[in-house]
Amino acid sequence: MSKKSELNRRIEESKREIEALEAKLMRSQISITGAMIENTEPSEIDKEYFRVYSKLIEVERENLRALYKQLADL
Amino acid sequence: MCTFELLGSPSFSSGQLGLIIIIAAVLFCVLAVNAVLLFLFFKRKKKRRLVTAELQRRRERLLEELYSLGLKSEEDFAHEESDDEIESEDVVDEELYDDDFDSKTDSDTDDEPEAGDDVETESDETDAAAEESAIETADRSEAYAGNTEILAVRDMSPLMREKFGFSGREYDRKRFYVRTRRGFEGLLRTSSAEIKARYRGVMNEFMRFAKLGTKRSFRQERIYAGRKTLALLLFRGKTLCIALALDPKQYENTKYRGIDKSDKKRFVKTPMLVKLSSARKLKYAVELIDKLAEINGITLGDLRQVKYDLRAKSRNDLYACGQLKIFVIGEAPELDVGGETDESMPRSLKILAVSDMSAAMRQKFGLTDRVFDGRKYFVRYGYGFEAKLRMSGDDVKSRYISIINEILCYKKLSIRGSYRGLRLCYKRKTVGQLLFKGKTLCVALALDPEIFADTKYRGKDMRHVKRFAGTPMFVKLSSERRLGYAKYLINRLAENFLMEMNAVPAVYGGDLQELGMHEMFDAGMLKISVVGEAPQDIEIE
Repeated sequence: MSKKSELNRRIEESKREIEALEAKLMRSQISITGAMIENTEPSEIDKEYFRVYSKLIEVERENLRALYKQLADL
Repeated sequence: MCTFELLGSPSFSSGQLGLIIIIAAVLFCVLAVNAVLLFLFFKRKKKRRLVTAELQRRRERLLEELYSLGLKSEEDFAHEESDDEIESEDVVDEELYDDDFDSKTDSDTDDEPEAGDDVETESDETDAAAEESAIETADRSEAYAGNTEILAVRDMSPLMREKFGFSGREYDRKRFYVRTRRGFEGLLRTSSAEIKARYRGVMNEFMRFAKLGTKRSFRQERIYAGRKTLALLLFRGKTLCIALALDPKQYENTKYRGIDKSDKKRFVKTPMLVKLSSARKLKYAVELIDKLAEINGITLGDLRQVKYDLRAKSRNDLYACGQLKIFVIGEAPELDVGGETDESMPRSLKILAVSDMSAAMRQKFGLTDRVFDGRKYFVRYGYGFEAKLRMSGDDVKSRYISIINEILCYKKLSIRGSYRGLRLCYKRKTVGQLLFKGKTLCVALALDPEIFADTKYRGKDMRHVKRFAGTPMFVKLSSERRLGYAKYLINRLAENFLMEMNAVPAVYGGDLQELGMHEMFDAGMLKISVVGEAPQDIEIE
């Protein structure tokens, strides 16, 4: 029972983390989209932020999937 | 039953019993609340763990990248604010390759790209990847370069707090270990009036010529004519220097001799570095500028009156205009750990691993237990006079011996040593001091500086400093010539005090061999104060 609640807690935590990362990703995304619309070169820093945040989200999603799997296996 | 009998014994009245029970209950509540708070605190501080080690590693790597990106974007912001005119290549040069001045492995690219320069685009592209990795390393290494100090969040400007993410009220009472780096303008603004005057002198000289332009970046000011860089103005430590596009070998054995910097990429175009450390050096620099103009066929132009705003700015203002870089290393503890701690000491912090400490040091700082073995601490070194002397070069040591031999020529002129320096006493009166100012050996004598003000023996008047009230004539023994002047002044001092000379002067025979840190600490020449624990992942320089 405690294992299940622990997993549920970690799933919630992971979801919150993904939401937070997506919110952070949004800033660089807006900047890059804006540059594309205006046909200008997006800033290198924004590109780097976008790349790092999207990878972090990817890692977090993998983590979430693994947690769901563990919960299902219980 | 026994307990009840005890409680019911006549030794406690019912009132006393009630009081004991209330105190016990209150104590229990306090302990319980503390335990809950501790639990919550550690839960909050706990590092987030992902399901697999591989995911965890990937996450940590990405977070590290994110951290270095934070530093990079901060620099870019500062740069945009301070200098809009600098070309994009300049940004790479000035901001990202801002390495140690004397670094032999200076990965600097061409320092001053100009419009129309024959820059090969192909090589630019191929270098792009290398540059990117260099950017990252430069960022990280820069965070570890410069001076470490403790900065309280309450002393930070709102901009600084926002940049570092210390906006919340919970940060108000916190302090952080930071490393700072001032740019050219920042150093100039905070320099003394003398240095500012020398800067104006050099710039006014350049302004006499036609078609000369100047461009200021984070670490230097460039003077150019068309596409050609003629000079760079920069700081080396606190000394204003000028690097000129002249051949240093041509001036090697002349009074204009400078430092040959042709092996550094930064100085490829301007290899002759001259320190503007005195009015005489400024005069020579001005003469060299005239020669430089003559060589490059630059003619005199209309007299341009330029006003230089060199007013001092606060740390927060310098940070806001991009002339000060601050790197946060870690959180400083509220309370100091062991040792003597003196916040007012201006010396910068160093990192010392417990494993590098001697047994005496560990004993003194209370770090004898094995649990401290892998730890690192921020420390301040206080080098005493003898330590500095032993660590100094042979020229300084020979000057020291020479001046001591001069002192030993006089009867009843005795030398008394202390941690900070040597005192020269004559009939119980202090008539002189020998001390170090930075790495320079200096002598302070009981003479009136005004008498020598317009002579070659002139020294700095230090009577406003309590320590030198009795010995106000302050002379630096920075060269053999100065040593000769100091000896003359000692003779004058002896005349003033009617000192007699020894028939057979004694000769100094002390040992000035360099010692290791542990020996100096044990001998009391070196003081070390532990300021606080350093993050364990920090690199020791």
